[in-house]
Amino acid sequence: MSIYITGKAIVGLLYPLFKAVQVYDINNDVVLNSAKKFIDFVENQFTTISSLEYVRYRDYIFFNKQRLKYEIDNYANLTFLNNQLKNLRIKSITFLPGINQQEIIDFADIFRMDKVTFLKQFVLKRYPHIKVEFLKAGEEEEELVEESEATKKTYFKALKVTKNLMQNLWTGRPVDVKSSRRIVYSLVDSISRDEFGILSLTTIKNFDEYTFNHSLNVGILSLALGQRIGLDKKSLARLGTSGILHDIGKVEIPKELINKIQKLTDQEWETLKLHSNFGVREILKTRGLDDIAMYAITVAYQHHWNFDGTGYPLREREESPTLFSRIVRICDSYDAMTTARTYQPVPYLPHFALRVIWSNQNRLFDPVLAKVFAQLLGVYPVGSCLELNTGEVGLVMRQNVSNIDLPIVKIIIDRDHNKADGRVVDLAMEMETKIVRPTYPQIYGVNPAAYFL
Amino acid sequence: MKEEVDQIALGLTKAFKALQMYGMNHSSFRNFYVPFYERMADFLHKYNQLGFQIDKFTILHGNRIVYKEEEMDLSVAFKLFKDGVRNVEFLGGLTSDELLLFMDVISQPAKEYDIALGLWECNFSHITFYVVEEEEVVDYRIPTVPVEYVDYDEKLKQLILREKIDIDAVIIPDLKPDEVRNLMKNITDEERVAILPMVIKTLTDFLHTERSHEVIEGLIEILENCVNVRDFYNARRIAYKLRDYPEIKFLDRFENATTIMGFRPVLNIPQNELFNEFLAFIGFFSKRSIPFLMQLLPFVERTDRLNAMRHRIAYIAQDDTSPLAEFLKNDDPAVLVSVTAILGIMKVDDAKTLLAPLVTHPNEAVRLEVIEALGNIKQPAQIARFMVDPSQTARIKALHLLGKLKYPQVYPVLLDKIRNKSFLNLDFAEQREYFNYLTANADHNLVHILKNLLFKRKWFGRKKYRVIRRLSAMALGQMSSEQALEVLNKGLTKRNADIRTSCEMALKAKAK
Repeated sequence: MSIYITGKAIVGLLYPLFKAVQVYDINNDVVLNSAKKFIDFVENQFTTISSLEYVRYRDYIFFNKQRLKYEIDNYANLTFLNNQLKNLRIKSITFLPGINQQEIIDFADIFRMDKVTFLKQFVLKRYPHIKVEFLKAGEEEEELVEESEATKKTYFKALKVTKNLMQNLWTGRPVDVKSSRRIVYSLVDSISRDEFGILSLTTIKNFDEYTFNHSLNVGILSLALGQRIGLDKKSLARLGTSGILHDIGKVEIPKELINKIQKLTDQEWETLKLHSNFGVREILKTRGLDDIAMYAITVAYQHHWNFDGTGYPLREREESPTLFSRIVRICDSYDAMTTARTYQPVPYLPHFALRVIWSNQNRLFDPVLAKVFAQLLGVYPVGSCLELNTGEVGLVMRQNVSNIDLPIVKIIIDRDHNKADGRVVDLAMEMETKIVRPTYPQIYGVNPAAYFL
Repeated sequence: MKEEVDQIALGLTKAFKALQMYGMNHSSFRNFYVPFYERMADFLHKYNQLGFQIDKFTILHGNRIVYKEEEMDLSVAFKLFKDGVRNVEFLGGLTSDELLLFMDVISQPAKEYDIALGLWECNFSHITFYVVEEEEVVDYRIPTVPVEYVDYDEKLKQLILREKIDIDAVIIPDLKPDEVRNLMKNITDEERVAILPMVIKTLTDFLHTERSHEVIEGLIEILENCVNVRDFYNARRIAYKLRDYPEIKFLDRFENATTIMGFRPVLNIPQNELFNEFLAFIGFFSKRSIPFLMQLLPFVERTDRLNAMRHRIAYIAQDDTSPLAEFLKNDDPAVLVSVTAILGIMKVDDAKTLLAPLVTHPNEAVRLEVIEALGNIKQPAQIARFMVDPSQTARIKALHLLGKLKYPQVYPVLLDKIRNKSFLNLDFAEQREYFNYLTANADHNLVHILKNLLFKRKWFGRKKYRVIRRLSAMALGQMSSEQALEVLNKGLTKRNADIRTSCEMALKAKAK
């Protein structure tokens, strides 16, 4: 059994035990059985592993140094563990060989308590086989504002590769397939290390060169959504490439038409719609028919197919879009709505765009994927500007996994309406600070993307 | 430790060479691989990790060269180095499958394969590696946002009105258990079901909008792959679409001896579905493929499939017998049988002329097939020639077909034969066919003839004549006319036991 599966399985056994002690007496059979299952499993693991360590770092849970991803089949377990560790300000818990049923039950019993009681009880009772390390003051907040240099590098390199790819197609020059393949793999690695980190970079929008940033952003959003539903690495590489290449057919559409400010005539609209078809041809030109290209071709062709059978290009009634096409359909719409363009100078606010997707599930979007997308981005997606009851304006830096409507924000406008490089506030922890409403950052003359670099 | 690492490096060298020479399934590779893995596992059990640095032609462990090979195609170091891999580390818990997978990746032909990506795709749990990328100057600047003087609050109100959504609706994105289950199933299906049918559909749909050279080329490439992997279902779907473009000779690359003879294993494959898909696919072939398809026929083991293949060739030939004519000169009776059968299936006029020389062919099987073919093309006069064939089987078949084809011209001849003494020496099967023919070609006088044969007084050879009475009675029963039944009923009253029994049997058979 791999480290990842073991870590996932143990969280899956801890969750029912922690839940059971919240409801039943600690001598109840439900509690005893859950504890027994946990002990049986970990004893078996101790024959090959010397300790079982869970570390919480920026809303991520690591098991023996391997990050456990939030996937739909372990979402509740991991969210619960993350939430409790966060509330108790625990940095890590380590289970050591020799742990027995009574010890884990006693620990589960105090794990449900508040921070102060937990600390008292933990010190009072002795837990020889459970080691707990607490966060030092300010440690987490400092970590939150630090952005990984590697993630940024990956994003900008990917942007460069995407731009080169499209420009070369525009000008009929040869395309560097190896680079474009490798960059997707880097993005997959980046997503699996720190999905919120790279998601925050999708707030970088480009008014003048919309297509490049948009293509990359759709690739990243698709990867994050794909990872959340549990796709493996190989599938993620296919999905990421498909996301990046979904609009590649636009290289065959006249630029004047793509950037036209006035309403399109019927004929112009029909021409624009052809980009789905052209995408097929462009991918064939660029990549031939390798495994990944086959997925990209399908997505390029289907990414305007709606969940209810409408959309373009026309299709037969029984044909439904592939899973990848349904993912890209959502991510494409979200990024398009939240980006300013010549014909849409004022973009949708991120939380508003999310609501458009939410209210169009079943019609335009796959309802289950729309839910996972909402889980992923939260009610106020990263990059949202929020007016707070303190008179300040906060920028959503990342979402709270366990509280999707209370994100972590950075104060960017102070009470006097001046720009500020203020403190980071976890709205789930600072309950007195409340959201008044989302707002446009342009009102305050700020570009959210600047805060993520 | 040094010695142990050297042994592992040596094990890698040997296993890699064996893999390149013999492939993964060969016992020689296993002989080198197993000790290599065991040494590695022992080492990892003891030290928990083993890291190597990769240089152009060398592999180093702690700055000490443990492997050197300067021949590019044979060098593990070079293969890894050229794709940017600079460090590989094996960790405790390494499984044999992981190491095998690692060996498989590094032994892939170098030209088009990217080893770094290959290793990445394996998603190893106990092998880590570091890849260098070309260093590039990355511009971290974010684009400027145009300054717009807009009433954002008003804009937001407009958007809310336009989208008609409830801005304050609560979003609870929890998934129900059945939604999770369905999604997981969806993912598994997506991974299991090949993307190929979807791509074919996409490309063929594309052609509805526009005739694109790239798309057609793409379809042809997929078609080739499908044929190579015996996926005739998808091959057929593509061929069906490409038929709309007659100027594209997409079948040229398949209509040759090498490709068609390569289909031999499909002919006797146990799965009927696959064979039928193959049959459907070759239905798109042109007449040019016939000589090669003919060469396939001797390898077909099952009669039903052989018959199906002959029908397919006849379909491909349409009405043109010229691609088959050459095979009529062949000495091999099996080939002659097949080509005759195909001509029979084709039902074309010139088949009669083409088959004429085979009427007297010394091989019985050939003559039998000629009779069958002449039957198919409705040539009773030709078939009648076989009534004197040395083979009883051929004569019976000819009689049978003459009966079926209603050919009264030989009626008097056959009647004379029946009346002749020598008729009693023929086998029952042949005698029966004579009477079947008479019944099938009956005229108003037949009841009378049969009555005479049935009631004929015989003083000598009664026992031998019994069969004539039986067959006459049966023929009357088959005719079942009022007159015929009257004869049979009259027979029941006869003193001759043979006559009575024959009539009883005929009436019983009729009643059944």
